[in-house]
Parts: sequence; C-alpha cells; structure tokens
Amino acid sequence: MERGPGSQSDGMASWPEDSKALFVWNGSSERADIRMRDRTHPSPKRLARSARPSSTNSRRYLAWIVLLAALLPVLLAWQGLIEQRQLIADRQFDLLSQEIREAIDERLHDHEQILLGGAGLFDASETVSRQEWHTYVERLRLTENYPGILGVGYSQLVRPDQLAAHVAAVRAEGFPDYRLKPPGERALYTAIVYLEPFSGRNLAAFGYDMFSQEIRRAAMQAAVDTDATTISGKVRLVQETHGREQAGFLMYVPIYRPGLPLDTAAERWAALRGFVYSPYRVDDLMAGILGKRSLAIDFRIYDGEGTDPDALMYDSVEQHDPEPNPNPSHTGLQRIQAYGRTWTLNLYSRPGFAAETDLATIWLVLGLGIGISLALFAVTRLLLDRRAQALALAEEMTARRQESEERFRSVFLHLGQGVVIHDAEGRILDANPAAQRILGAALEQMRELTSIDSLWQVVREDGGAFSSIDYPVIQALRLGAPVTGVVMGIRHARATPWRWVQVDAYPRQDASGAGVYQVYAVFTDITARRQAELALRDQSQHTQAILDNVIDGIVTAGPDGTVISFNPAAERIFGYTAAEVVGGNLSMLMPEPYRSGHDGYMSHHLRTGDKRVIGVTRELKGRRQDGTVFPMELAVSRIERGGRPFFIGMIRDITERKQLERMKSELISTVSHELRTPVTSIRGALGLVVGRYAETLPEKVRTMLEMAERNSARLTLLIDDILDLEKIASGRMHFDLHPTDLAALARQALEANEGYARQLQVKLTGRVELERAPVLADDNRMLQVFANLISNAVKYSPQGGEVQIGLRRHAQGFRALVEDQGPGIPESFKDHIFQRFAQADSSDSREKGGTGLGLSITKAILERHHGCIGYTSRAGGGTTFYFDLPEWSEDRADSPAPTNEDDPNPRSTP
Amino acid sequence: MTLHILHIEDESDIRQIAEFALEEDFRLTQCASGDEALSRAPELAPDLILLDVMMPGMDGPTTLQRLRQLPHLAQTPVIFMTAKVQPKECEQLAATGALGVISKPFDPMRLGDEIRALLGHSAA
Repeated sequence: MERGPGSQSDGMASWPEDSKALFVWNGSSERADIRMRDRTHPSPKRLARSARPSSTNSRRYLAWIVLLAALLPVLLAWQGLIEQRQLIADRQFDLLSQEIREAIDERLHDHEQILLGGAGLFDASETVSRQEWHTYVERLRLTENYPGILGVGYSQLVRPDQLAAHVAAVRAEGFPDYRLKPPGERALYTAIVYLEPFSGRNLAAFGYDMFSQEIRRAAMQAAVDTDATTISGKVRLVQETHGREQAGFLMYVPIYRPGLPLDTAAERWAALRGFVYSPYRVDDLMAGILGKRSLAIDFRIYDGEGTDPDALMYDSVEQHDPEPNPNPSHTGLQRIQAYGRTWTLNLYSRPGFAAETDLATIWLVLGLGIGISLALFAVTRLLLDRRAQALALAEEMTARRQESEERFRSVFLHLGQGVVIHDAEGRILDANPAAQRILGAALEQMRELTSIDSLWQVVREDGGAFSSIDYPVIQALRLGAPVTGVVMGIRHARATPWRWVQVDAYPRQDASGAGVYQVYAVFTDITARRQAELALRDQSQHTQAILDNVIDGIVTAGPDGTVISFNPAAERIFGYTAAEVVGGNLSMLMPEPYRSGHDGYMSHHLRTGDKRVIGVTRELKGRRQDGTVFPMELAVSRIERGGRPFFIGMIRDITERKQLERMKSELISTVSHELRTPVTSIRGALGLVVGRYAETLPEKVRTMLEMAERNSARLTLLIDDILDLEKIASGRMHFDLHPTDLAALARQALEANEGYARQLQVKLTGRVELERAPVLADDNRMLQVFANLISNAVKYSPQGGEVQIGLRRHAQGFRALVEDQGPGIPESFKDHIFQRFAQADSSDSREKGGTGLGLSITKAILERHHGCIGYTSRAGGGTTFYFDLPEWSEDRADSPAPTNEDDPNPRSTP
Repeated sequence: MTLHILHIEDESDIRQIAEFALEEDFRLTQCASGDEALSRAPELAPDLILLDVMMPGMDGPTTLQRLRQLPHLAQTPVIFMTAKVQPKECEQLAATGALGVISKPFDPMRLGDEIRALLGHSAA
C-alpha cells in the first residue's frame, strides 16, 4: 500500500472512534465487506421492517377512522338540514298555493255580493232607472275596492214581441242609434241596457245580446235553471276593442219580476226579468286580486278540469319578466269550484323559490364540519407519522450501528495491515489475522504478552537495537498521543527472515478522560516496498555510476533549453561544474553563431516537429568555461516525460580526433609528396633515356627501361588515387557544385577519351539523346567519373571492340551509361567491385595499368552528388556501368544538398 | 632568341633532369634554394622563373614574394612546379600571379612544350 505517513496517521487517528473513517482510506475493504453482507444476509433495516407489519397498518388506518367518525355526524346533520329545508319549502309552497286559491275564491264571492246587491235593487223597485243604476255602481267605488272588475251591468230579457218597443224605449232615452246586437230574429233576446261605468270599452257592449252567444247563454240558462249565481266559461268580451286582448268571463245573477212564484225552473223562466252581470278581463282581475304582491310561485288558470292550452285563462308568468324555469322545484294543482264552473290552478315555483330558505347556513355547517374533520385527520396523521419516523430513525440508527460494527469487524479481519489491541499495561488483547501473519504468531500465543516480549526480535531501520521505551505502543501509552511512522525490522524466531514494518500506535482515551485504556497498534508490512526501494536505489546508483563514469558528456534539458542534468564527463569537457550549468540555458555551452540561433532552432523544432538534429550525430563547436571553442560531436535524443518533451544530448570532445585526422591528412599529403619527388626523378630520367636514346640502346636494355617507365607512371597514378580517396574520406575534397549540363559533360568526356581509346584500338561512340540534362554537379569531378568508367570499359574491351556512351532520362533524373563488349564481371567479384584495390584478377592491374581505386573513387564522388552507381553484366557478353543523378531545377534548388550551408548546425559527419 | 629560365629546385636529381630536358632549347640558371636564388638574383635577368613549391627553408611562394621585391624581377613570368595538384592549391598559386602550374611528376620530353604553351598563352 503506497501511502504517505501523513495521510495514514490522519486516517488511523480517527479509526477507533468511527469505523466509517477507516473506510475512507480503505475503500477496497469496504466494498468487499458489502459484497459479503449482501450475499449472506439482508440488511438489519430490511429485517426490522418486514417483522412488524400489522401494528403499523392499524396505525395507518387510525387517521382514517378519525376522519370517518368526525365526518359521519357532519354529513347526517347536513342531510337533516337539507330535508328540513325541503319540508319547509313544500309547506310554504302549499301555503302560497292555498293563499292564491283562497284570494280568488274570496274575490269572486265579493263580486257575487256586488251583483246580489244590484239584484236586490231591482227586486226592491218596480223600475230601476239608468241614473239609479249609475248611482248604485258608483257608490260601490269599484276601481278602489274591487280592482279588476270591468263593470257592473244589467241585461234585460226581451221577448220577440217586445223587441220593437224595447228599442224604441231605449232610443227615447236619448240613444237614437240604439239597436240590438247581433241583429237577427231569435226566440229570446237579452240586451245590455245598463253597464256602469258607461264609458270606454263598456260602450261597445251597449245593446249586446249575450243570449245569442253560446257560452254566455249556457251560464245564463244555468243561473235561471239552478236559481243561483253562475259564471261563464272563457269568452272573448265584446269590450275587447283595443289593446292587448285578455281572456274574459262573466258572472250572472238572474232577477225576476216581483210577486211571482219562483220555485221551479219553469216559474222562474216565466218570471225572469233579466240578469245583473259583471264582465271580467282575467289578467286585470288577477292583478286586482294579487295586487303588488311578488309571489315566489307562478300559476296558470285553466277553465275546466284540464290544462288544454285553449282553456288557458291566465298565466302569471306573463305578468313579470320571463324566467326560464324548465324544472321547477315545486309544482301543485288546485281546483276552484265556483258558481257552476271548475277552474284548474296549475302552480309551480319560480327559480328563486328554494333559495329563499337559508341554504348558506346549511353549506356553512357542512363546510365547517368537513374542515374540522380534515383538521382532525391531519393532526392524527401527523402524530402517527412522527411516531413512525421516530421509530424508523431508531431502527435505522440501530441498523447503522450494527452495520458499522460489522464493517469494523470485517475490516479488522480482512485488513491487509495488522492491528493489535493492547490494554493499558501494554498486554495484547486482540490481534487480527494480518497481525498474526506479520508477527508470525497465533493470537493464542500472543495474548497476555507485551510487544517487548522476547518472542520477537526487533531492530531499527539502520540495524541498531530498539530500547524498550522506544516501542511505539509503550510510547503511546506514556505520551497519551499517537505515535506514527516508526519503521522497524521484526522477526519471530531466528529462522524466519526479517520483516520490515511501519508501526503506528493510537491510544484510546477513557470517555471520562481519566487516561489511556487501550492502544491500537497498526502494522503495515513494508518488506516488499523496502526491497523495491532498495532495488530502485541500487538501480539508480548503477545508472548514476554509468552517468558519472561514461566518457561522453551527457546533458539533459527541458523544452525551453533549461539544463536539467550535467554529468561529470560534461563537467570535464566544458570546464563548468554541474551546479553552474543546471538551471541555466544550454546556449551557454555554445559559441556564436550557434548560441544565438539555438533558442530559435529549439522553438522551431517544438513547433514543427522538424527533427533535423534528433537522432543524428553531428559535428559542431562547443564553448568551454574559459571561452575556448572546441569541436565536438553531439547526438540528441528526444524523449517524452510526463507528456513534456525532454532532450538528452551526448557530447564527445573530438579535439584530439580532429588533431589526429589533421595529422593523418598531413602525413598522407607529405608522404605523397615525398613519394612523388623520387618518382619525378625516376620518371624524368627514364623518360629522357627512352625518349632520346632508345634507338642507340640494345633491345633488351630498351625493353627493361620501358618497363621501368611504365611502372613509374602507374605509381604516379596510384599516388594520385590514394590522395583523392583520402580527401574524399576525410571530407576535404572540394566539390564545386553548381547547375550544369550533364549532356554537355558526356560529350566532352567522349571527346577527351577518344585518343586513349584509339591507342587501345577500341571504338568509342556516343548516343547522347538528350539535348540538355540539368544537374547540380562539379564539372571536373563529373569528367573524372566519366573518364574512370570509360577507361575501365576501354581497358577491358577486346581489340576492335566498341564502347558506347549513353544518356537518358531515368526516374527523377538522368542515367548515364558506359557499355563495353568486354568479358563481363565474374559472379564472385560482384560483391566487392566498388571496394578499394578491387580488381577481378590481381594480374589485371599489371596488365591493364589500373590502380583498383577508380570505381571506389567514382562511387564516392557520385554519392557526394546525391547520385548512385550500378552496373549490369552479362557474363561473357559485356558490361554496362551506369550512374544516376537527380534533375536540377530552380524550384527544387534546395532539395539536393546546398553547396554553402549557413545553418548553425553543421552537416553531419558522413 | 634563347629564353633565359631561372629554375629554383631543392632536389638535385630533378634539377638535373630539368637541365637535360631544357638545355637544348633554353638558357638555364639553376638554384638549389630560395636563399640561393635571392642571393644571385641581382645579377640575373631571367625571362621566366620556374619555381618549386615545396622546399625546405623558404618555400616557393615565399621565394617568389621576396624575388618580386627586386624591381627587375617584379614582372618576370613565373611557373610553379608542385607535387600537390589539388584545385585549391592551384587556385592559391594562381593568386600569386603565376602563369601556371606544372605538376610533378612531369614528362621531361614534353616539359619544354608545356613551358612554351604557358608562355604563349600569356602572350596571347
């Protein structure tokens, strides 16, 4: 377990009091614990819930019972009130209906009295004059006392034989236009002669024969027949001359001539004098009866026993604003038996009728009742919930405590760290399995022992002995404070290997604060960690030793050029100590112009990823502390560490090597010169002899001298070639690369080597098809290449053979070819044809006069031109050597190696 | 008129070969070192100086520099002879105002022709 001592002690300090804190730093144990618990038994909380369902349920219903108990009386009371209200309304309706019926009855009776009064007047007098009738009626003050009555009149019975006299008599009274209406001859006439008030509508009735009209006649006849007051059925009064027409009826009281017997109908008919009568317009009559009373009910009056619309005499609805009331709450039927007729009263309540009773109170009662019930319900519920919550909380706390204890136990048992519990005397009370494993003893063996028991051997981290008072448990007991991070080696018996542990001891204080009563010692086995650390330290020392002892300077730097490390070799090379360089910028190790260009190059590399310098060994100049500049080789590697680039530079001081190279070069140069000088003398002397005195010499002497001259010439060539090769190898051969025409060079080479070919009786031909072949090349070196290849081809061609030079396009450039008809190249020689001093047959060099260096030089020259050389050979059938050069063009001017690099980082060593 | 050549060369064998090669066509004065040439120069009026480059003591270019200080030799044509015939060296030698360079080893039978060619080249 990789934890710092700080975090460990924080977690452990709170562990004995609160096991949850332990889980914070030991998540894996907790998870394991939970898994185990889920598999084996349900949580205690769930257990508790399922064990006690019935009591909880009954409590849950209690609130509802309270609600019902409170609501029931409320509803019953409400129901009673509603019923009572209905009863009252019914009674009221009945009363009103009765009242209306009685009012009508009473008024009709009043009217009969009026007519009986009138009849009395006639009975008492022989004649009643118009004036007397007027006085009588006026005295009644109809309009005030009996509103609704249209008038009170007298209709005289007129027998046909009396008709003319009657008309004449009335006319004589001052009514010249009087006549009986309707005209016509009838068995019996009646004529309205008096009708008071004699004005307005009533004038239209003057002279009307009511007996001529069926309904009126029926009432009149009934009155006589029964000797009683009668009223007619529904009629249209003749007074309906204008205005809104109303239903009408009439009331008749017959009058007889005095002194005649009236016992039978016949006697009465015989004695009949006429009728006192009253016409009624029903609407006006009802208005009079009901007055201005605003009734809560409406009613209709039908003439007869039915409710035939034709028989409708009166509808109170028409007297006020219409109110839609399709379903009246109350309806009733009343009959009025009056004066020979039956009237049917159809009564029904108006919309506002029921509302008149105190409905608001009823609803208030209901509302309040429900409200109080609900409040009771809520309070009950609240109390029950509180109780349930309290119970649940208690259950949960118990469950948590159990869970916590289980967890603690589980952690104690499965924890990778050893836990040993000591009492206040330092004696072991308990130890978990890990502790038993670490301490190499079973719990039974350990119990009652102290940690300083001789059962264990203990050493300090440095190998020194532990004094008993330094034991963490003893210290914790003494100090009363945690002692953490003590590292010790421990072993149970000599046989077992040392275990390395880190011990933390936590004292547990008494609740009363009286003192420490227990100490928990926690053992972390750090044997593996310690071994790993030792191995790492060893590895690190090893690496450091390599870095310290390596000959090359090794400098590491961050992406901003800040030096991170500087090994001893680098110190020796640059003359700085590591302390002087680390933290500074790499550029301090460079002379100009590298110094000022370095940062720019670095940022260019980081920006573009251009790896010109990475992974390549380059030669450049370094700067020592004393300011001297020296040649060095630098190889830079780039690695990523923590997502950031990081550079490692390997530096080799090549001052000595450069000096050696220079010396070697000078040596070769000097040796060559020193060789040339005697060769010059030898060749000169031989040349003079052979040139001037050949003919004077004996044949044998001449042959020998010619041989000596030929070989001295060859020696010269050899020296030249060795010099060339050395210069190419050391990079000191100068190449004047510039854009030139390879086709022109091929033609030039053809021309230059023609003479030589002719000497050897070989035909040299050219097939340069291209007009121009632009390349970047050194003219002289190209001519040297051609010369080498042509001279080789010529040398190996048979006498009379042909060597052909060609030039054509090939891939991204040009291919020059030199083709001969020589013997071809043996298979065995193909692998080293371009090596130094390579000739197929060592005798060749003497025969052919070559040095064996030509192809090697040619190859090196071409490589410096970014070209390459190759050949195809048909054994016994000639050889074709060819070389390729890239095409040069203005826009690709930078792709082949530039002739003058002003790059601060010099070109790499070939 | 026979051209007078001052030949400065430290190697006696080469002096001798040059003498054999040139004596028939040229008048030849030979010196074994720069110092000798300088000491004899006041009495000499050569038409051409044939000068070895690598000599012990004073080398060819230094000798030439000293000879040029003598008014009567300030304009005398010079041809170098050298065993180092790299283009770079040739350029350096040409920069001293020399007519040309004859590389060693030379062909004694063609030496006179080469000298005449170089002189003719300069005359042209």
